[in-house]
Amino acid sequence: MRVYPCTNLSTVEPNDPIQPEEIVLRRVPEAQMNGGPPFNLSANAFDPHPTRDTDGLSVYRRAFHTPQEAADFRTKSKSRAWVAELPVSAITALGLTIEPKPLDATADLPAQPGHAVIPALNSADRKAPKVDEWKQQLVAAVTHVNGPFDPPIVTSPTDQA
Amino acid sequence: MLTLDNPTTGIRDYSISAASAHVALVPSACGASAERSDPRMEWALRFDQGLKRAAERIRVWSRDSASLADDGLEAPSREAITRAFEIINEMKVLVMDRVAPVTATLLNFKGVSLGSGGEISLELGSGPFAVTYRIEPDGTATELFFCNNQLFHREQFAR
Repeated sequence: MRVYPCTNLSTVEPNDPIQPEEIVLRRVPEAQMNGGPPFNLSANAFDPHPTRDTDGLSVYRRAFHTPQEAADFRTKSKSRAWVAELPVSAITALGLTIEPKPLDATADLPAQPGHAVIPALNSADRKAPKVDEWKQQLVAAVTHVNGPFDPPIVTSPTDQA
Repeated sequence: MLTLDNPTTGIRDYSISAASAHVALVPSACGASAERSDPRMEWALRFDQGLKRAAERIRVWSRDSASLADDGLEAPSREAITRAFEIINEMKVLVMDRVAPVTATLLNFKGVSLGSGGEISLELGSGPFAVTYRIEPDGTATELFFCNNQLFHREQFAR
């Protein structure tokens, strides 16, 4: 059993319910920041994708991942990214829930034990008025924005040989 | 209830008749005075600079859709880009030419960003008020008006 360190939480496991005192991270591509310079967070930072967020908007639990790691969970991007921090208590205060959804490692990306989703912010409902309001409220709930982070350096098999 | 600035343009002036506050996109007596010390003129110039940066950003997106795809975002459609430039131009005219009540609160231009589905969003705000113009892929624009982060008004208008 692997135990992950967490501020103010002695031990947390990937499938444990997310606690109100936790912090979650949301990676924001540069195009979803209001630009800039200086850049500031836009409501689009919390916009679900039309097809890929069927089970909810992805976030990462700070108990498992640093902002740098959250920024690097991408393979193709050549753009900078920011990482917003939100208290879970502020998210649930809006009536939203967060569910753990750890991801296994793939050929391109390492395991993401702290991956979680906000189910109400999903592909099907992304144009609903309530989602518009939640996106605006989530921006207000952000306590810190980290970055910018440069795109990760992806090494090809030939580089490693 | 929001009042229409000009029914033919589709862009509102953010004057709230039913609420106690008055929010306007444009400065009072703006345009007549070119003095840089006029705070309303300075606001208008800042707003205009923001619009120019937004236009340049949209041009970059229109030239590099592959980069957006690499970020997991849909590229804005030709219709959305065209409509965004129309709205930016309408805002420029309103900012520099219109007269607003002295009691008006001025909204600042916060910037342009891209929705995950290729929507182009122009965000304005000041204090408790925020307005977003979201241009959909088909060129339809949705106006979202927030007060204290509560959705106060939402309306779509076609081209």
